[in-house]
Amino acid sequence: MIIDTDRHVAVTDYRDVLAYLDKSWQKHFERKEFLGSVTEASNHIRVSSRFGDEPVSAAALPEADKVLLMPHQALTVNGWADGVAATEFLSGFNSLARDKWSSGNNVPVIVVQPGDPGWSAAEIRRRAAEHVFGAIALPLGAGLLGTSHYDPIYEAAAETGLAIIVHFSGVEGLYAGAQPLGGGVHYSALSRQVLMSQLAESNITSLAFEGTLEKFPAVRFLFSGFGFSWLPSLLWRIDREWRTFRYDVPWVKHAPSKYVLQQVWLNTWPLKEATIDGDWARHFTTDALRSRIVFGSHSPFDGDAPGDVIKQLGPDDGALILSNGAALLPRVEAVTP
Amino acid sequence: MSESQPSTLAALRRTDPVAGPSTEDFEYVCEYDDMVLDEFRSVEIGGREVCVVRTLAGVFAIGSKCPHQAANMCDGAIKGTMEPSERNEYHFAQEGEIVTCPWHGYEFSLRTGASVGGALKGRLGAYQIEVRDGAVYCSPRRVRPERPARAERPARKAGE
Repeated sequence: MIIDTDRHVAVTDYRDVLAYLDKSWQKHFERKEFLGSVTEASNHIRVSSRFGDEPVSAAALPEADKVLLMPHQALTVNGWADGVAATEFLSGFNSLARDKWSSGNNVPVIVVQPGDPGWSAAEIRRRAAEHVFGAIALPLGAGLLGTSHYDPIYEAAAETGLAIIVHFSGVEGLYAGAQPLGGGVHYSALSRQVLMSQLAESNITSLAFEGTLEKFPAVRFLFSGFGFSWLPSLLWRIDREWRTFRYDVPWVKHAPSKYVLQQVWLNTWPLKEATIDGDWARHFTTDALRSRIVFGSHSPFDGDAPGDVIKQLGPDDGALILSNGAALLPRVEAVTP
Repeated sequence: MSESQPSTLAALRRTDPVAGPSTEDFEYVCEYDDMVLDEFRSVEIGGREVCVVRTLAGVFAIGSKCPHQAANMCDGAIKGTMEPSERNEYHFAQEGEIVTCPWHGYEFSLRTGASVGGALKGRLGAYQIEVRDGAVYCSPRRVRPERPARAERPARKAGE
């Protein structure tokens, strides 16, 4: 079974989302002060699909048996200052995803609010009972993912068997509240895009060293759209530092790479960064490393197709990577048309 | 010998690393009173460099080469360590029973030579010590590490 773990979908009219909210919240969101921030903001990367623009939902890939749908507009709540409004907005967005995008082969994610883990845990349990969602999308809020702040979300993920998908929204490194990039605020969208992989490395390191992977062994994480060529060197570095500083993190009871190689996955986009100069063959030398990579097209944003995976990784490794998604996303596989 | 010495010696015997063979061929290291707390003394025992130290927990002897990159463990530091714990909890223990490598800080048990927490596959050599009549003696042979019992293998089928 081939699962595309990263196909983007979007709404073109904000009223489609607001229709799921009660009238008072609709009136709140319809004010210029809110809509202006959503419809006129143009400084995002990969979130240029403002409400009112042409749709940017990706066409379904014929080669994929199942497709995990990522609504990037909903992810941008990590740049919102008003956390209460964000939960209302996401509640509407998740309902819209259930009614409009779920079709059996197309499986939406539950988007949660990183600033409100209590609400998020309840939303996960409520939506999981609807049996149309395949995973949980956790936008990158102010705190690194290893902190106990997120424990209620991880408890709900473990309970429901839903994997947690981490995908940047585009406001990281720019808005206060969303996670910053290294060094400071970069001046252009392209700089931020180049450096997004820092967020995945930071949060995987946090999950390992803060003991979250030890505490929640059943929770699976997919870092989506961050590339993957950096994984082998990260694992070497976290193990190296753990050997010296195990004293400071005695709750990490095994080499941190062991946890990552069991509970964390990355998807293939952008595929070429890992195949240039033979990096894939040189660094992804073990079955354990190769098992971490799953297919994600990232379409329609310069996405890769399954054929690209076969072409660039070869028939054996390509087929392996295309089939890896089933272990990560059993709930996606189980959703039937 | 200080007033506290008898009790320290008693503690020493209680914490003797591993009961080993006869101590008749143990080699003389130094007088116990000449040992400075937590300072290694490099000596040649059985043709090898051995690092001997007196700590709050006893007298110990280890091989001088770190299994990682062969740093001289006689330059190591005497410490305790943090036992495995729940998230954000610290439980300090084994004070005076741990040595850290001077280059990378890797922790080893002075009692067994094993890497703390399984951080390294390699281990230090550990040597049995005896304190007799106020003098310290060291075994010329490394203590054989205890190995976990081998997992039972399924019986082979006929013809295999």
